Amino acid sequence: MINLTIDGKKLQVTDGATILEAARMFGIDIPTLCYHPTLSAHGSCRLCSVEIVQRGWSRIVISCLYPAEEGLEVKTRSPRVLRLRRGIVELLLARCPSSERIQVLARQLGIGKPRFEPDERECILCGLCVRVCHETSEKKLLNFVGRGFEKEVAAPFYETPQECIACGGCAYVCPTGTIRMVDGKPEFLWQRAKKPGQGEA
Amino acid sequence: MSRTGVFICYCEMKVGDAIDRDGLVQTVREWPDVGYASIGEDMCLDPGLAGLRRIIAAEKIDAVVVATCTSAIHAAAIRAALTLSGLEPHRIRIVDLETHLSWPPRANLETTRSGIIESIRQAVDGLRTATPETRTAPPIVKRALVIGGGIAGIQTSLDIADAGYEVLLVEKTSSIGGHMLQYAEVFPTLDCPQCIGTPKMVEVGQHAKIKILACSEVESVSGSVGDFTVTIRRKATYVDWAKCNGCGICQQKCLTPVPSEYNRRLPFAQTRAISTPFAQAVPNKPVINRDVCGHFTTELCQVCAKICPLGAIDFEQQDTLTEEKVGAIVVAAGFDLMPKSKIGEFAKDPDIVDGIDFERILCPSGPTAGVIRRPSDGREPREVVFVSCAGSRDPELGVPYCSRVCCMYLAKQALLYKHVVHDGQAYLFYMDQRTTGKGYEEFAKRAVEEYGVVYLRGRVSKIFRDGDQLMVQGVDTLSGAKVEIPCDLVVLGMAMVPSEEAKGLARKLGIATNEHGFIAEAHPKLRPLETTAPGIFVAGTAQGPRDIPDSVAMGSGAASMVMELFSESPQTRLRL
Amino acid sequence: MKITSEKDLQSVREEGLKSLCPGKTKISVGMATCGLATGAGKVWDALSGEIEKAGLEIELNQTGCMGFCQEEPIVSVHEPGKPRIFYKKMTPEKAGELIAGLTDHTLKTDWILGRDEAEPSSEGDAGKRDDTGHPSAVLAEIPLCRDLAFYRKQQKIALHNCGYIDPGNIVEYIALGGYSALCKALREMTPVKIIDEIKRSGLRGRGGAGFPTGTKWESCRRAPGTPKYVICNADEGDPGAYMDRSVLEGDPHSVLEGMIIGAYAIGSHQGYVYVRNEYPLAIKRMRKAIEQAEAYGLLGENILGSGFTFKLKINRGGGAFVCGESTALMASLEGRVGEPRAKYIRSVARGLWDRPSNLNNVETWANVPLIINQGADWFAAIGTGKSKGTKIFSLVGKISNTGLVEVPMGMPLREIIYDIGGGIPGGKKFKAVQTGGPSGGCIPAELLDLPVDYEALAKAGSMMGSGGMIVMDEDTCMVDVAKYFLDFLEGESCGKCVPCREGVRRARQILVRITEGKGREEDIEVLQDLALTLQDGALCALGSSAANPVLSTLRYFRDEYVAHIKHGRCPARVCKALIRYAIDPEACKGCTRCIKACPQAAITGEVKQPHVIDEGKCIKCGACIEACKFGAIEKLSEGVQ
Repeated sequence: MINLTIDGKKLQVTDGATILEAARMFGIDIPTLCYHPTLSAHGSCRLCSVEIVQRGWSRIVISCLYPAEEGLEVKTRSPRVLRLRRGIVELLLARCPSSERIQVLARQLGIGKPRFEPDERECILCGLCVRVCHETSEKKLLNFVGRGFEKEVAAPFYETPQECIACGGCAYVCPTGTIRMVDGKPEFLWQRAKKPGQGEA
Repeated sequence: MSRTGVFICYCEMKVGDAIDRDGLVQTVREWPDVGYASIGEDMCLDPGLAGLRRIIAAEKIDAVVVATCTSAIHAAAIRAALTLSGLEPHRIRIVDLETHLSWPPRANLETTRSGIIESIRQAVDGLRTATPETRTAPPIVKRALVIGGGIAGIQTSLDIADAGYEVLLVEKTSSIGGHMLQYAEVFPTLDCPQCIGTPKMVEVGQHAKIKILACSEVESVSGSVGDFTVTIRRKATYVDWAKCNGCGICQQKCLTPVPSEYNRRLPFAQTRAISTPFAQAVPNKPVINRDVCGHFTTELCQVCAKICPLGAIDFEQQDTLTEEKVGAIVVAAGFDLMPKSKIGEFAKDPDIVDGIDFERILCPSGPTAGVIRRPSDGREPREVVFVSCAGSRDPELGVPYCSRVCCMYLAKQALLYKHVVHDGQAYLFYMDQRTTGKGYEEFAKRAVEEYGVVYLRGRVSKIFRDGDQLMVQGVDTLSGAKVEIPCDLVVLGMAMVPSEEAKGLARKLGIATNEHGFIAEAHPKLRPLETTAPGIFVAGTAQGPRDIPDSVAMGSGAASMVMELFSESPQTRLRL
Repeated sequence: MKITSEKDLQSVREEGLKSLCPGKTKISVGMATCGLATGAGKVWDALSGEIEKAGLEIELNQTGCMGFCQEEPIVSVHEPGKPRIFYKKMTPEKAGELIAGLTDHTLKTDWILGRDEAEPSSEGDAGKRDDTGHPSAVLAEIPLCRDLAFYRKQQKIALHNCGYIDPGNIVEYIALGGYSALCKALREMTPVKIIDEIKRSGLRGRGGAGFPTGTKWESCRRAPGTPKYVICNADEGDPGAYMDRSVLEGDPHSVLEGMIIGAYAIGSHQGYVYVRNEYPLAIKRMRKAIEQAEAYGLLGENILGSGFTFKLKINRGGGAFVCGESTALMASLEGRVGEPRAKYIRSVARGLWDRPSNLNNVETWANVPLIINQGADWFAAIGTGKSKGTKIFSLVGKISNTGLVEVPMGMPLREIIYDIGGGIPGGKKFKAVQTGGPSGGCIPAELLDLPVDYEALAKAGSMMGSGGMIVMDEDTCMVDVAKYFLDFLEGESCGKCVPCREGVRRARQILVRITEGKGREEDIEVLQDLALTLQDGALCALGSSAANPVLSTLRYFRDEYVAHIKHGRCPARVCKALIRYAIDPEACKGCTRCIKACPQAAITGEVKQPHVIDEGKCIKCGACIEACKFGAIEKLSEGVQ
């Protein structure tokens, strides 16, 4: 068993638990976007960042992956954490302004209009759909394509994957509603915005 | 020409002035067919019965009406005597005076007297038209319905089925086992209830004569002893159990974790929207909780349906109603604990738990793997306060009766806590020590002498949160001092109450309950396993707070009564 | 032959010495990428042809980079008994004369860069002619290479073989002491002792992070689990950095030897060299080195007969800067997408295929054999308190002596830039030096006395990084520099985490606007907010250090930002949207050269009349400035008020 403190509250969790699991088990709220309790942690949205103090040193880590350690002190709402959270949500809001989930987060953090040029994408690249397809249905039909801002989620050759079992897991976990179920089959972003040279939907 | 004899049993104590002794005999003698009428004493006893027989022989009586105070008890003996005198069953009527005696308080005397006369007259009139056929009951369906798959229901089912009769075991949850399977260790043996219970569950599951109807409830009942028609509602589980082989992959892959009801919503472990309650469930088939399932809440998810290799998921499944014919019914619908909130809002604090919550925390196969952790922060509680009679013996906030088992299980829980947390402190507030069973007193003493549980005789007046801890304020009547104990966890010995379903069940079955909802017995002292309706029996905590050995004994007892009903020449149906 | 004893090694050594000094004239051409880029290949061909034509017994071979890239192609001529002479800026045309000079014993002194010591030394024989006929005095006047300004203050440890040995010939490496450290390690030292030696030496990772190497090896050794892997990070990606490339091309065996020693110390039997695909020559040289090492029993099964087995495989990168990050590199090695992962569980505990893995940079590995041979104390005596040994820097940009320099840690930047680098060419003023690549920052003139040391550079807002050192002068716009690095990082960001993927793009968008004269007042604040989000939120060092170029240019050159934003001016006259080209009518002689040079026909004017540039057509390509012999065209940035 491991003893740690989150926001002044002393907790005890089993070996192998992460800070996020410890917090969620005992009702301490840490916002997340790319995390799902039944899937492996991705650590890409960084929204679950918290401040930890260890041996006198303070640093920011992501709670979905950082393991609970004996004697760890965690702050989920320190000024540094809140500033980072605002920074991340402002960037996400600029990327995906129509997402209700992100709008709610923005409201909670007091973020108005982002200070960046409009440059919108529907998908926030959280990778939940990819992980569902790899770990839940184990069909492994979706993955990330490309690098950087233009990274996308797609199936090989942008074609509708024939082996898809339409389990709906990808649509269910998508936080922005980018993946929809149409006639019992998932409809993906790349199928809606066809680029030249891509396969037929 | 029939010559009817009317015998009215009288004793000062029970009947008294409810009958006008002389006037009544006079009135009865004037009725047609009545050849003889008299008031006798103690017709429930041998001398009385002997006298009855002499008169029957002497007066050449060929039809008899006997009015007795408590026919429930006396009818059998009276019938037996009359049968010896050569009277056929359809020539005997027994009038029950109990209903009129309204003991206490008595109704208006006039009403009582005229009521009694009316009952006797009806019996006499009935004899006139009675034929052997009208008194012959239809053939008994030798099939039993057991309602409730806890340990009492399991015992009943096994006994009846082993005797060769078919049993339908209706259980409202998806698995039999009941509350006993949730406990950590049972007193006084400290047996592991999963270890001793699961073999019985497996036996039930594999028994050729027992059909388990899980996720089912009794919808309605009609008919009478030997010939009940029962409509059973099997709730939609959204899984076709005929196709499902219990592989468990749906549960593994389900994307919706939810708090586990079986684990009392403790934060330490969650289950999924599609799940079986525990690994050894019988039947081991999953159920979808449609209130939280992603398919029903969002229409997006159908992971389980697509992953199931046998295509066993059926979101369109509906409740089904089936009609079954059974000859006997055993109610073993069990109990629940009174909700903590009933004794105050303060009890909603996460570190105030009830007995079954603490069992799950103690249980080695439970959500904490036997590590004692408290719900608010997962830390080991260093000081635990156990509170007896939380809700019991409390007419104001709770129930007036004693829940019978709490003294024992709180002692056991305190003992087990100290066994795991050697340097922890356990306090137990009690009013009395009701440790009446075999080995119980010795067991409870161990908690004090071997494990150092501190017993405080007194009640708890207040519990409130103070930062990290809870403050328990009470009284130690033996020293006369007020006590205030800062502790980490409070375990409330909440009152045992009938399960919610049991109350509605009684109405459907047409049987009585007492004012607290426990099933009423035909006679509280001498007929504890029979309900007020013939052919419907009761076993276990549905009848009242019971421990496991008693529940099991009652289960076997009820089974034997059912078996008597199904035997070659049953007497029970004659107890009318 | 398989070397299994000291005797074997000695005999190979002798073979190597014979190769180095074959008893006949040996001409070596610097054939690393820098040399080849300046035409060394054609020089080789020309020399080869001339030698054949002259029918001389001359051995022609190749070496690696000597470091003085400004003077490439460099060719050295070594006549037996004479000092080796190095020729700079060789061309194929000069080949004939050079060969002729060997037969008639003439020296083209103005072609010469410098010389080495002779064997034996011919100093003290001034005035005499030696038996080959070269006047000794002439020889004595040729400066020793090591006395040249470029080399004088350098201390070659990792680069000590580069430019001297043929990297394709293992015996030469062995001749100069190669693989003797491996022998010592396997024969005389235990793994724990080796690790202790590296720890005491103070060697820190040369890839940029500066993590103590000995400690890393120790953690990997202690981590439970097998097999263990050692990895060489040769994915050098910083723009302007080519230290690792030169080591791999010029002295691949030093890296090999280091890795084998490290593997032995850690308990690993399988290693990987991850080389970026854009280094084909380095890959080729490494492959050959591995082949030869295996042939000599120095790599593979039963190394040196000790029973220790270690195998090495080369993996090529796929063109991603981010794969220089250790966890992304390991993902790429595993065949997965090169994306970093959170490092809360370190790679030394769970790395490649979840096994304990020790990753070190090329230069780090190259230092290991010398430390083992010469001892931790020797290494620790070089450098500063916390930064021991030497560091290779690629000195590039607005600098007279472009090249690779290896200096002891702690040397002030001023000495590197002015003494070694020869200062800023063209009489221009020094403005800043960028260290640490896209993760680093710029150091302004007032901080030139800072020593090159991990901690000192970090404190100034930059970092040592892998060793790239880009010098900038008054004609460099610092806002444009920040934009350049963000351009680079946006293209290289793996895109996994929100702060980097979104933040770098947004920061770049702001900088583009600023350089186009569309800057807004709040831009600097927004940039600083983005910097904080990147520093605290990014998944890997690419992201968390992405804001450094912006932050450090803001810190030291804020006035340039203000000029761009508030006044629409680019003080360095670089940002095209903010400058205009103008002809000074007084200086203009009306020669029409610029009119002819302009691709947009934007200049008009009569002969002998001052010409005029039509700003509307001008694309600011600079062709006119290059064509003008009178310096009459200037770039102006007047801005808006």
